[in-house]
Amino acid sequence: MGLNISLAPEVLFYIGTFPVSNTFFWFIIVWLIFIIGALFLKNNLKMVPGKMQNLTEMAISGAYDFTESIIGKGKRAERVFPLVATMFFFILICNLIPYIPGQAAITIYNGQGMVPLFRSIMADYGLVFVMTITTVITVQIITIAVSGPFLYFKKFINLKSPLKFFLGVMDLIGEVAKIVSLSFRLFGNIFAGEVLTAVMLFLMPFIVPLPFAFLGLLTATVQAFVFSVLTLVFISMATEIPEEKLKKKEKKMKTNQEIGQEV
Amino acid sequence: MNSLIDALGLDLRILIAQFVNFAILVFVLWKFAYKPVFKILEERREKIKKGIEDSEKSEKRLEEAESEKNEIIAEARRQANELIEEAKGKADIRYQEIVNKAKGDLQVVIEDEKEKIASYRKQAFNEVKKDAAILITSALEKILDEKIDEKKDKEIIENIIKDLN
Repeated sequence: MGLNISLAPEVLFYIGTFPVSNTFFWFIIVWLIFIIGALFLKNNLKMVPGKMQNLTEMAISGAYDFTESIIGKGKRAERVFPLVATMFFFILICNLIPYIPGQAAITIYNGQGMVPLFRSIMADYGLVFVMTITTVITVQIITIAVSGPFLYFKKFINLKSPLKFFLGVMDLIGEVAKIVSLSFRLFGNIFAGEVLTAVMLFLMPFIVPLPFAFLGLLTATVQAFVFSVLTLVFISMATEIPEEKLKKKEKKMKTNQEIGQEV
Repeated sequence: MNSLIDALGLDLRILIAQFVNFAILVFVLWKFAYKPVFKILEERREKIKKGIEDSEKSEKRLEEAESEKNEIIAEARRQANELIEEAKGKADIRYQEIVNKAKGDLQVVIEDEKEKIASYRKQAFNEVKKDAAILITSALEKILDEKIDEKKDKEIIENIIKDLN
């Protein structure tokens, strides 16, 4: 029996020409669980909560309080919360699903060979990349909205002096690095966990994989947290008004005051 | 680059599908999970706040009622005392009046009785006098009948006449 480790998710079957990979398949299942859960929750909310509702409320309000503590109270937190919280809960559940015992053993024949039916959902770089891109695009949009398009482009392309030009290029690289670091952190951790578990199971099926499984649980939770918190922090940074604009505002206020005094 | 994309198994169609699904997920969770939960949390918060306020209010009201009760009791007690004092005063006066009246009445009765006694006495005295006169007369008659003869009678009559003259 050979150990088959693939960086890419394995394709289970095709709908037309659309390849359904095992991660996509499970992504849809988790997605459906979330959607149905949300609809169920909406229709079963009671003033006096049951245990399930209590748990959900605690999770959501706890997440909201945490969001508020990072980005500040009010509209900001309200706007950013759906995205960040969904990322957290979704990644968390996706990461915890592999710990359902038994599913790792199921393989199916996809026409070319045996492929495992299950693969940790976040071990699909495509999905992680999509989420990262969502974060980065959101951050860019917020930055443009806050500081204005002119200032936004000036940050990256500045021809005033060689040093500023260089810093602008560095900023640009920084933005790209953000995408890479954010996405590969999550993907790498989960994929590594998958591989590690597979290797351990292959080498020593009993007891030895257990500590790694616990480690994997920790990683699963921490990575969900890290990904969403980093998203939150990036957005929070983007919502801060840049210094140059603040200076301009102050100048404006000062001149207004001076005019007021003269009058 | 292409080999990297192949190695990671990236497919644009899957990416788009995942993005759309994720967007839907965010929307659905926002609409059907976060918003209603926040709403119900807020409602519950309001309800609890209202409940606490109400209980505070009712407690206050209870305190007010208690103090009002005490006031009323004190007032009633004061009035009762006043009434008792007044009644006592009145009773004293009335007592004096009655005593005085009784004294007066008694005096009248005593006077009456005294008068009556006096008149009885007088009457009795008169009667005794009358009886005595009769008795004396009859005794005298008897004595005179037996011991006084005509001679003596004559003498006495003459003496009386003499005396009279």
